[in-house]
Amino acid sequence: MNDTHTMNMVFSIRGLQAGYGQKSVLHDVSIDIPPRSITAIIGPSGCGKSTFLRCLNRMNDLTPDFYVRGKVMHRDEDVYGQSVDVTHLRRRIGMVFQKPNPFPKSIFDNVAYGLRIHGMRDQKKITEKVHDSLVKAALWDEVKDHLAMPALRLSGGQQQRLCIARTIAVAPEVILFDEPCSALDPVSTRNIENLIVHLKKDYALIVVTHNLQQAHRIADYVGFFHMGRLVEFGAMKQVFEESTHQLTRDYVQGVFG
Amino acid sequence: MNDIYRHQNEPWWVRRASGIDQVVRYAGVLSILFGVVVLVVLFGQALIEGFPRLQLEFFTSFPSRIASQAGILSAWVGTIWVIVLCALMAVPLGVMTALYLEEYSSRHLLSRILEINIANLAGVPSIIYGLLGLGLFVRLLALGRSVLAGAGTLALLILPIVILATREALRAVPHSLREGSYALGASRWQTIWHQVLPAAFPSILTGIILAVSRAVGETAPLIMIGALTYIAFLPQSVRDPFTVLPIQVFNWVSRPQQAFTANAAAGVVVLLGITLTINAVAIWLRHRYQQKI
Repeated sequence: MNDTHTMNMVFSIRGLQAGYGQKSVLHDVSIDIPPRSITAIIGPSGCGKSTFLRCLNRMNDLTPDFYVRGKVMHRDEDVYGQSVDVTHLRRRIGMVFQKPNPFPKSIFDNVAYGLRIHGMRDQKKITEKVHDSLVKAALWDEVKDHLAMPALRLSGGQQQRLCIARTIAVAPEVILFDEPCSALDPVSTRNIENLIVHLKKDYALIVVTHNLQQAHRIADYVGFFHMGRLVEFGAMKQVFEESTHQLTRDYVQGVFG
Repeated sequence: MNDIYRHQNEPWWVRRASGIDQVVRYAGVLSILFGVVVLVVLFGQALIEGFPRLQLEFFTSFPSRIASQAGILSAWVGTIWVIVLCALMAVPLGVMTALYLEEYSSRHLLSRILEINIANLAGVPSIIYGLLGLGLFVRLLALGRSVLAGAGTLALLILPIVILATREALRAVPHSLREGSYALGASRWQTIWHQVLPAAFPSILTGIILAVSRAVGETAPLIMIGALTYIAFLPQSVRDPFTVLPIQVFNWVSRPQQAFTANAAAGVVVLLGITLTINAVAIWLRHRYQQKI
């Protein structure tokens, strides 16, 4: 792997180890995440895929006793470097959570929140950005007539798309999805999947998922985690169909879950 | 409604379980009735006894040696002075303390010691706070028997309650809300100010109101710091001496003349009225706030 190759990567991770207090969760994970594509992270429960995802935008900083070692490079910036402004970093690396978590505010304010906290004051510009983000998140048509309605009155799928819209609003380069559909019904799941596929022309997307069919449907690349180690990483077809690892083959064929 | 599910041949454990259900239900109703009846009787008795005294003059007259001319002007004005000042001191201090402990401090030994101590302070008898106020405000800071000393003493008294209530309220805010904000690149303070505090606000408000209504009724600590029972003028500044409603009631009750009992009863009605009004305002505010969300 040469240097120019690494430079093009959205994330370039070397020897990542992480855990909580005495409990180590990730062991020596090295991976490169390509831009403008969907990378699915799969693996059985407790394999460390969520922890891995939360290392990328330093969400784990909020957890007491969390530790991390190794190198996480986002473009040419060391994510865990001394001089990193974490709030700035998190703006550029958006995150959508498992359970939709809209703010208890209006639909409009949910999307405008990120813009406002980053100093946007011009009401016209905010309105415009909110519109654009809702359009991109495929939610505009459903909510355009009641932007002042409390976001918590939306359905679960709509709430999740709203969470995606508010993430898009602050113009990230990467969006991390932590099992974004596991709390949703099949129709909403399909909507979100279509949206994710649609978004990859503008963003690098990393999706942690329990759902192998989902990974199969949307992913360009797949990373398979098992017991805190990255067993295999490669193009989706290769991992699902031509894997040389027994563990990967067993998992994607449903031998264990 | 339950009848369609009820069969003749239910096994004994099902019948026993629904029997226990009934017992618990009636025990609950009885418990509620007990509290309501006691309150109604107390309030009713005070109202019957004090009603003839609840004229406008009662509110606009200073206390007097003649029962029929005595009023609560200095007492209710004093109560408002003390309570407003007390809230101005205790609320910002309490909320900021709780914010620090809950959102900023790391869970280490020092904060755990602080936590235990604050919980203990909330249970300390109020007369002890009176002693503290006497030593700290009246003597050491030489504030005398002033409104400021009284308000300070009551502020110390309700501070632990405000802190505990605020912490509980902050803790009840779901973690996912904080994560959603942080994930957009919000700083800690932005997250607290825009997400955590608004979400916790109704509960914080309830805690504050409960604490303040407790302060309204406190007598012992204020007697301890030497609040006067007979004041025939209104405080003009925070350095002036004062009296409050409960002290006035206490004074009237302890008089031998029968006529003053009616005054005391009327005073009790006013005091209860103030407390209930404060609580009603809190409920109204909370309701209004929750509707907005």
